[in-house]
Amino acid sequence: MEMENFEEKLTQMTKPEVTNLKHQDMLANAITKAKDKSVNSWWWLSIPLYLIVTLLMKTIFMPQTTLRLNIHDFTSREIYSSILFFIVLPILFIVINFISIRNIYFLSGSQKSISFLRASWFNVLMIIFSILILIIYSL
Amino acid sequence: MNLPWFKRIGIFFIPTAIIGWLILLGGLAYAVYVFIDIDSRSHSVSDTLINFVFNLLIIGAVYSLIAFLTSRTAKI
Repeated sequence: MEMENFEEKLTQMTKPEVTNLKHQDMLANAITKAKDKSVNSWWWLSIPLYLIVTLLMKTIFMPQTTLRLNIHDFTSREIYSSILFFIVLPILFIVINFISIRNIYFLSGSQKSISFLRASWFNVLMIIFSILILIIYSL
Repeated sequence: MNLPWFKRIGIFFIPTAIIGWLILLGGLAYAVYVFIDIDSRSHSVSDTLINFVFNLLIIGAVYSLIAFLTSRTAKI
């Protein structure tokens, strides 16, 4: 009698199922954080990008000047602002976005897949913009 | 105070709490004040717009930083 019960219990038994993995939560959290950070980076990097565009417009409308000359002129007038917007912020956002991408990369199992790119493309774009700002400033 | 105050939609942070709305309204009011101030001192429309957009971007960046820091729930 007891054996029958045991057999019944065995047939009713199923494999333990974990519907929600902790790793999945960690990855989702890392992607959300990375996107929030990239949006914040975008707002802060838009300031030096806007400055570069205005200096470029000045160069176009005043043919006797060059972009390099205009940047040097701006730097001499606004020393602290130029250091903050053209050096400190881009370097800071390169580091922040790189760390975010690295976190997603490790949590996604170090796979170079389309889904990884889809999750981190805006961070990559922010790193490219930051490098571009540093290059233009160092001209 | 209960977090989050903001949630992110695309590249914008939208308020989800009263204090978030107060921060947004404060930012907008300051932007209007800056526009009026710049307009009273500028000599042309382009002069106003070029200077105002720069200030608007700074206001947007500070707002996004506040929203970013307060858009997460507190860790228990």
